[in-house]
Amino acid sequence: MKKTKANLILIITLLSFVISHSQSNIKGKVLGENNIPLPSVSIAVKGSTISTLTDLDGNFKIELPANKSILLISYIGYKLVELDTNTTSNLVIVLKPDSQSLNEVVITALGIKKEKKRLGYSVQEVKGDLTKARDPNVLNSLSGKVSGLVVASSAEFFTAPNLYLRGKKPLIVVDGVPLGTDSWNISPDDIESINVLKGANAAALYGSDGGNGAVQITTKRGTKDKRGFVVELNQNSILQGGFNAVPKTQNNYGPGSYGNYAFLDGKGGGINDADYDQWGPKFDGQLITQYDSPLDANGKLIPTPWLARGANNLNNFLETGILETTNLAVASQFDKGNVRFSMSHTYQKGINPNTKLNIYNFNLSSKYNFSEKTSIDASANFSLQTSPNNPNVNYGPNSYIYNMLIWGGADYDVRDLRNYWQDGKEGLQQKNFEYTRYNNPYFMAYEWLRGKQTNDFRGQINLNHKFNTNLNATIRTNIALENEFENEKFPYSMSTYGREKAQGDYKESYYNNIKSYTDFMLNYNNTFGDFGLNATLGSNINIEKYRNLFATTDYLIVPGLYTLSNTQTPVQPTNYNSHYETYGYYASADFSYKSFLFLGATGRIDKDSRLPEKNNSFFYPSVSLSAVLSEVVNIPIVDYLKVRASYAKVGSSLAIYSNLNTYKLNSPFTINGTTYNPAYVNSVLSNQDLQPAFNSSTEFGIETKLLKNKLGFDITYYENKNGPQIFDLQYSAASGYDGKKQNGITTKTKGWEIALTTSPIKNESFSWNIGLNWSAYKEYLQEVYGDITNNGRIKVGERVDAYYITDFMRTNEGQLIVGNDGKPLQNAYQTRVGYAAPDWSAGIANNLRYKNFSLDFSLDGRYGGKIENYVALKMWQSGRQIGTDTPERAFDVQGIKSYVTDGVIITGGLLTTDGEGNVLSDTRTFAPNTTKMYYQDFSKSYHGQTAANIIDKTFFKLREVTLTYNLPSKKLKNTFINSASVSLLGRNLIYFAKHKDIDLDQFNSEKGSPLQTPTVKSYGLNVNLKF
Amino acid sequence: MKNYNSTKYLTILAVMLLVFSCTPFGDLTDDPNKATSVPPSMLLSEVLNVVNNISDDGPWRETQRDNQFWVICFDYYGDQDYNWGAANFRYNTLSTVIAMEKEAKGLDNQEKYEAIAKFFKAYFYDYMSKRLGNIPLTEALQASSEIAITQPKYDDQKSVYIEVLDLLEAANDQITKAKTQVGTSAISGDFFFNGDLDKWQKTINAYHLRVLISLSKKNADLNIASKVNAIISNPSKYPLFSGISDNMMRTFSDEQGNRYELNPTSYGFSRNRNIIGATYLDLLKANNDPRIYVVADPAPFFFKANDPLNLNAYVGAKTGDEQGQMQVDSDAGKYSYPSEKRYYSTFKGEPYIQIGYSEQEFNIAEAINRGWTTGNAETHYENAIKGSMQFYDIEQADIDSFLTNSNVVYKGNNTNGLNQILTQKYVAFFDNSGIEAYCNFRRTGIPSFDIGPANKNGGKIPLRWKYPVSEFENNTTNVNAALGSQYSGSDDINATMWIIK
Repeated sequence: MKKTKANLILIITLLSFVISHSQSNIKGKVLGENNIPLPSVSIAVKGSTISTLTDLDGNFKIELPANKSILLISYIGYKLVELDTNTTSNLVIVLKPDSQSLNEVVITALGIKKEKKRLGYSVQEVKGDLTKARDPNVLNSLSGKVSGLVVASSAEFFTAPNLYLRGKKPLIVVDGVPLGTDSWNISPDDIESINVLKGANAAALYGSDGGNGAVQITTKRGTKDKRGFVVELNQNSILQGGFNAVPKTQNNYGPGSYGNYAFLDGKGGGINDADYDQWGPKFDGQLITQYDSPLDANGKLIPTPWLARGANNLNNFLETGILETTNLAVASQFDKGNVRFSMSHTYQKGINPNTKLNIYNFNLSSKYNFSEKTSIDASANFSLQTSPNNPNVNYGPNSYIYNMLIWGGADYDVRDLRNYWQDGKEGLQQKNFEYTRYNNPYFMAYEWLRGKQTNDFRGQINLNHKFNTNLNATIRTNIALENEFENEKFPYSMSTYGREKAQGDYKESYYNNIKSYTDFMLNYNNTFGDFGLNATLGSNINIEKYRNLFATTDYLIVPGLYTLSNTQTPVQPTNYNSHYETYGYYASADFSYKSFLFLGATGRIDKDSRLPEKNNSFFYPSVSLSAVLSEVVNIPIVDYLKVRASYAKVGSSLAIYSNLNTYKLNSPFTINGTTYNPAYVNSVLSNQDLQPAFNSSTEFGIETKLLKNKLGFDITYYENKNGPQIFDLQYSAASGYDGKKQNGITTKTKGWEIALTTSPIKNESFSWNIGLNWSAYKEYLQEVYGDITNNGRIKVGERVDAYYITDFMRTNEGQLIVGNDGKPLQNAYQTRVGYAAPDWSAGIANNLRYKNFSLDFSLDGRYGGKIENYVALKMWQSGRQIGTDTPERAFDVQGIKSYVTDGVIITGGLLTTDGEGNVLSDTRTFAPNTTKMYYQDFSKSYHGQTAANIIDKTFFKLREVTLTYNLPSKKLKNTFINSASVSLLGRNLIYFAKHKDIDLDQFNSEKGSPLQTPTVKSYGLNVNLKF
Repeated sequence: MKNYNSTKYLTILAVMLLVFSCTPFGDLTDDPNKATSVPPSMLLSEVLNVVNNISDDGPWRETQRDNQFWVICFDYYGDQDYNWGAANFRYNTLSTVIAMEKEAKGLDNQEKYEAIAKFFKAYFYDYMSKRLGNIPLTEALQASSEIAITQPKYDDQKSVYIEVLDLLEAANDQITKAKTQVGTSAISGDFFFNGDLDKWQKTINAYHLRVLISLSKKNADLNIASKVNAIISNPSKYPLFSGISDNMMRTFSDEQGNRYELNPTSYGFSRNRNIIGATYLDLLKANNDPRIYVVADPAPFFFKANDPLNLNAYVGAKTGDEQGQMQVDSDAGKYSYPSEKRYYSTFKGEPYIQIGYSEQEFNIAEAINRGWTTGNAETHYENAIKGSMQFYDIEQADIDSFLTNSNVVYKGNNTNGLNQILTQKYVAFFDNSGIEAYCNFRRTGIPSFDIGPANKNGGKIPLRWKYPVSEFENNTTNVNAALGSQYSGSDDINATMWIIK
């Protein structure tokens, strides 16, 4: 583009010498900022072909025909000026720099680069360095940096975050190819830029998968280093520790029930010595038989003092995490192209003992120009990810939190259990504080091993040919291959849900996924006077083949021999295969008028093998309009003002094999040596008339820069119509089926996004930049199907994330109604307690630079939305929650019932409701409750219920802090180092939330919370050297 | 670099990049992981598993607490507060029954599958109706019909039971026919009888009697007496169980998916929490019943080693009692637990009777007691008790002495005799036969069920379950009409359904 423009100017200049029938000569001078003369500024006479350039001192001279008076003064990076020589005598022209965004080039769908001002839809680039305050997973670095994008960061080791763009999962695109990524195979060191296409409007060309927008990652190519080559070394060392969120426990009472506990065998032989709660005796040093009590001469346990030996068990058990990343990159730029090789190694040691992760990423990319017109660009990426052990953190005896904070108590010191085999029973029997439900945490860490290894290979080759300056063609092929192997060793004497026989197990699973994506594109661009055209015609083929295999033993014959054939009863392995293909044909055209009005349109036809044959081809369009108003109207203090509007529709397919009438298999079972394989009818009927699903999006935006670019806004309002979707239309189960696949259910998401940038201070030695992102959305059910007005519990017009729970039964005044045993009664019908999705989310990033120092810090989080705090609920049930240490509890252990629930009892009358819980009549009479009960019973029946554990999801985190010192180049002059920087960094340093027993970061619209590993802070050092 | 004929190379390269293997879409539509047709035996295994319904109705499960056979004192694992919610529909399984008939079509054992399919239909309609009241029937199961009915109307309970009885009649006829077919293969996938049609036929007729007796209050409406008489008086047409070896029952073993609920690995979870119910245990105590020593362990607190058979050491927990105190007392050893030897020491426990000989004999005794058929009620009453005793391997001498117990000796075809039949029937239902113990109580009030402060249903044993919540979302008009016609518009678990009016 630039080159073409320069050529044009040259031609026009030459012409201006030839055509010289002068009427009047005009002389003038062009100045830029601070009145510095601008050379080579184009001066043209409007409505003619006459033009010239300014000289080195900014002076120009031009001949003006008699009937012409207007000069057009243009210079790249500055605003165009129209000057009427009839009204202006002062011909010293001061050009104002144009806002950055005017010439900002962004990468749009399919990797096509476009000037940002031309776009009629919302695209936001991720600012800031991704390689310093890093997380093992690069996607976590996007947190708070893009308005409308929620990064729900997992608390767990080697677990990628969930991304939600406008509340839906976006497509992840690498180098213009929509094959996704497991997000571990990309090193931030190899990333040139990340930008986010906010909705269907921007991502329509990606086809079905782009319907929810896209996160586009562009990898580095060659180098911009002036020397034509660079060797870069980036090293990060991070320590992880110090809790952000961890459940708090009481440490005054131990295991048992109503104050009763005595260990005999940990298998139910003593008093509450198996599968126990934490409602046991108070730690008063009294003598009680315990798991490690010595034996007397008769082999009987000798009671020992009952003390809170393990008040700090979790702290003592968890270790400091380590994250080390090293990247070495070599890149070169030469006359015929470029080449870059990069090698990254990530090592992480988790905070749970015996967990580690190694990721090796190799990346090679190169571009070769065969000629001026033809080039080839290829890249290959290999990733090996290996983790010998990653514990299962779900609720259950597999979880450390379950074993140590919920159901396990302070009566044992975990450090005493580090040698976890019982003497003489090595390999057979763990040593533990209980032998039925719970496991020794160290035994789990070192013997229950869940390994994983992933090999990921992807290659891309891209051939481009320019037929002439207007027309070029690209052919591109990509293959992504992923192999994953997982296994699980489950030792003898370990027990978990469903494996209570505790005789070991071994599991293996493999999967293999091949994706290929090939496309062909023809691009045409040209200008016709004030009009410009940029058009693309293309097609692609997308193929995905997946297969997996899983097998497990049913208990082991030989302890410690982890093979699939070492199984007590024969077992059946399972496998799964799938294969689909889609073909896409698309066209897009962008029209421009001058440099202020832009119209874009796209259309795409997809053919998808997953849809019923007669409806497997579908078309969808998009159209967008943008106008740079500041080009035509001069508004005070406004440097740049653009408005935009767009509409897009995207069609999509359905889950593979989900629209077929096939039988389903139930788990086999064996009775007296015969194995039975039950099969049953799929409860959802297929529909051969099924149409593709569609969603559409309408978006309006305004972008502006004010006060000499000191302040910038980008505000977007959108409405997404999600549907008609493909859904299971619910039938009465009495029809024999639960429903049928249908097109229906339309929801509407309405949302706002605001991105604000400001540079309050900017001078040679000090600058301060602030970026703020804020977004909010709500999704409503708009239509279901035919005259049906509800989808399950949700009614048309209601928010889809409405959260219904079983509440306690209450009087009209809200008082608890309790039963004759003092326990609160539960309402038989569910009630709404709020909405699950957050009200809004926001992030703020600051960059301060003073001479060679720079300080970056960012804060982000979300506000509102409800969730059940499950770990608290469970701890209130178990008696371990810190709040359970009440005065009444002290009476429980003495056998005295003292707690009186604040509520009423029913003394007579009846409540009659209809089938949905609406009151028909209520003649109940009440009297204050006076029943005394154990506090334990109240805690379980009130605090231990969902209705007492609904909390707000509001949280904020001090996400990233980086202090960087760039060594002055003077100091490096006589060394082999070209540039160097050192950074101190921190990540997730402060967690702001009301309830700090749970880290709310990993949730967006979830209603329930799983158990979590406590979340921690990261501190570290980064060194970046360029040779 | 020297100039070369790049066009040629580039063309080759371009063609190479465009070469990919496209597959015709026709080859991609079918799911390679699932079958569109399966042998009927696999569907039969599924249906039998649903009939068996171990997870809800099986030994030491919730249904057996509702029957007051056992009590849980650990509120974390459950309660017996009778605050019932919705019962399950079985229409999805009925679709599998229909699929089984379809898959058997054309096979040489088609008649056999069809005969037991009729039994399953009767079984599931009865299963649903006795829990709920009116249910969809004439318009049910037509989602995939030419003219699909997606929101079926409800049929009144009387029509449902007329259909159930007709299906059982037809099932018996068809199985008789199927048995005469020579050289046809047996049905498979049958873990109850391994395809033995004689046993199936006895089961169908014993079940037929169960349904008829459950309709005892509707003798006038449904002509129950003559139907009962027709079955009992014609054993060649309606063969019945001749002993406990004919029982339809599930056996357990140390195998995947087949381990008994209580076993060596569950001792730590259940031992001090699962207590024998007082409603049941007190009946055994009152009659000095030898079964007590087989099913229950004495409470350690009251047990005296020098007087091991003293029944005072056998203490059941009352269903209505508050759980907290019960746990405290259990920890003090004041309750009788399920026998460690019988229930905890192996993975086999005891078989779970689905439809049994004892129940059949009690039903016949009741029919004679009511004067609906001729015969000696006492004989059948004693057969029933003996059948139950044999299930527990009680020695003959102990059985004989029990039968001479004055409380047990049959008091004749009068109310007292009927009460004895119903009481002993309850005892024989211990931990088996699904909700039958409760249904008999609901119909007759015998034995009296315990109610106490832990009851969260206004101090009542409920008379039904609610309709599934999904019906109020997906079949609103019809389910509300059903509530209107039966229960004054309220889905009230204390409302009385037609069959027990």
